[in-house]
Amino acid sequence: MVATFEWDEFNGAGKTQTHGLSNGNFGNHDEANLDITVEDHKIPRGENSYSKYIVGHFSGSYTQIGPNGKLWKSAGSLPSGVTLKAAMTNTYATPTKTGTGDSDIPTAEGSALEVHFGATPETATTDTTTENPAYSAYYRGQLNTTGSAPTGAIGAQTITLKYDES
Amino acid sequence: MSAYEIQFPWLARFKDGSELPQFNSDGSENLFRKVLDRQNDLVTFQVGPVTVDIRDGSFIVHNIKITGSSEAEGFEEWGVDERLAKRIIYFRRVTRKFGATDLKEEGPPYIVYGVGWQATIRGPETPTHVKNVKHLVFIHPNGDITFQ
Repeated sequence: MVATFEWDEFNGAGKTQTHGLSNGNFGNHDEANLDITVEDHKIPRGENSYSKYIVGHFSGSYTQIGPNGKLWKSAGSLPSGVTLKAAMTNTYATPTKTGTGDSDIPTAEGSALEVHFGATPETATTDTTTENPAYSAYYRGQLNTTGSAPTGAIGAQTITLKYDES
Repeated sequence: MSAYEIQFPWLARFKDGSELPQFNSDGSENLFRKVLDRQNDLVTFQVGPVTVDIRDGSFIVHNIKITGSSEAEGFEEWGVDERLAKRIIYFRRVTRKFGATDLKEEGPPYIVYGVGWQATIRGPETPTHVKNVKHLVFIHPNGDITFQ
């Protein structure tokens, strides 16, 4: 037995939590497990996706989660005109299409986003936690596009989440 | 939900001769917290092919004893005796890869086991001068072992 991991997403003004995401698609709609084959969910060129607030959720059998929590984009190249913005934060805001102002997601472990843990995303401020269940801080992501962004899916990209557990 | 199987279960041995395995014969699990609770009584801690002797700080790797330097005055250059209180270190370093936009996990997580000890050493002549000494061994899924 080890810690069980899942991604959860929070949406809407009510901060509705969806457990165990089956996808984290970015799109033109604030919704978990977004179906991007729906036309209204596709991001128009030159616009941003809705921001996403996603957390790592740990449960099951463990003594401690952390330290050494890191998150970065480890493979794949985004097409011209598309950028993936990302940050770790303890503050939730209702997702919108307004630019988050975050930096491009790091693409090397050495510059990875630091991932903290705690009893809730809001209290995930330390390198380690013994809380069970435990959460990471919010991973806030958003796709930004320009008018020159290509049509269709953006191709395979990989993010890596690394952490210690015992 | 995503979990993984333990490849290298641990086994703790204590001064009174008792043993605490990670998994009991009925399959139930003991958390590492139980080892930390008896840290002062711990003698050895084994993870797969690596055993840490918490008394002298040595590592036994595939039945070969390896001793690191304490790098501290007042102790043997090679080896650390029982006068130095050591704290056991154990963790699993978990690396998970996901599709950046769909968050689907790309295969099973990569698990590296870390085991070792650390100690806080105060200089004999300058007790306020504190140094942290740490020795760690990493066990990779393919059995490769690396030292830190």
